[in-house]
Amino acid sequence: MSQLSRARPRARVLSIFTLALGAVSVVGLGACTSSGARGDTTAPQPNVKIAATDETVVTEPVVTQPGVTATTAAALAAVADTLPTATSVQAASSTTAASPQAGTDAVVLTEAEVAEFEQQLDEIDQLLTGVNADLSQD
Amino acid sequence: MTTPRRSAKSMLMIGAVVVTAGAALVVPSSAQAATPSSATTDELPARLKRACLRIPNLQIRTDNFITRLNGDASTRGSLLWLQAQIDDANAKGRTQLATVLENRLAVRTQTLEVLTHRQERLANLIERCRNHGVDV
Repeated sequence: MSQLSRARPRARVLSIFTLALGAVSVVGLGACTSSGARGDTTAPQPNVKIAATDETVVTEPVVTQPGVTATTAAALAAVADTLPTATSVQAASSTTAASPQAGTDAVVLTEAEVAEFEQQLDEIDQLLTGVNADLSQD
Repeated sequence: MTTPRRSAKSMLMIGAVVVTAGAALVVPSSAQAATPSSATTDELPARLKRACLRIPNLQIRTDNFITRLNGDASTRGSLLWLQAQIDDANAKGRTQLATVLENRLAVRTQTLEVLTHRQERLANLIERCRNHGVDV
């Protein structure tokens, strides 16, 4: 009887601990999923955020301050000309969303394609080595 | 009616099930971290470029061999030179040497054909390199 009474609270504590452990693992997984963490070992790439606002880029003439040379002001103005406008940013954003390869004419590379490419070259290399050995007999 | 012992047992079983379910969900996401797919994908352009850069030398070697095999009777190793050697061996009555040289000529004739095909293949590979933005 005394053994039974001692075992009962111990089992209850154990079961509560097990339940808590399960709950913690589920909550931890939920946190990982919501944060987007995937456990990649590669260095994290910064997210490219393109703000598609109605603001236009200020291209007002740069006032040359004392100590700022005219060359610097001209350079600033040149940089300002190259900054994207709201329209171009929206266009770029929609293009990027449509296809990640947009903007480059290069065909998408696959592991199989590169391996096959390398294999063909190895084969030709081997053939040439064999021909060389054959010709050296003469 | 359930005994307290059985109730504790069932609680333990429920807990074990929850832990197992949690682990089953967590383990695949950790396994994903070990997948080297992104590293492999990143190195593909470099591998392709390296392969493409091998092509010019392979072309030179192929062209040289084709030129040599197509050479005249005075070019050592050419098909005509080998034929001249066969004729000479036959004239001297060295039949075994003539047979060996004839066999060699047969192989070399096929070699010339294979090399011509490889030359075309190399040209196609260069085209593929250009399609991927690699100038050779």
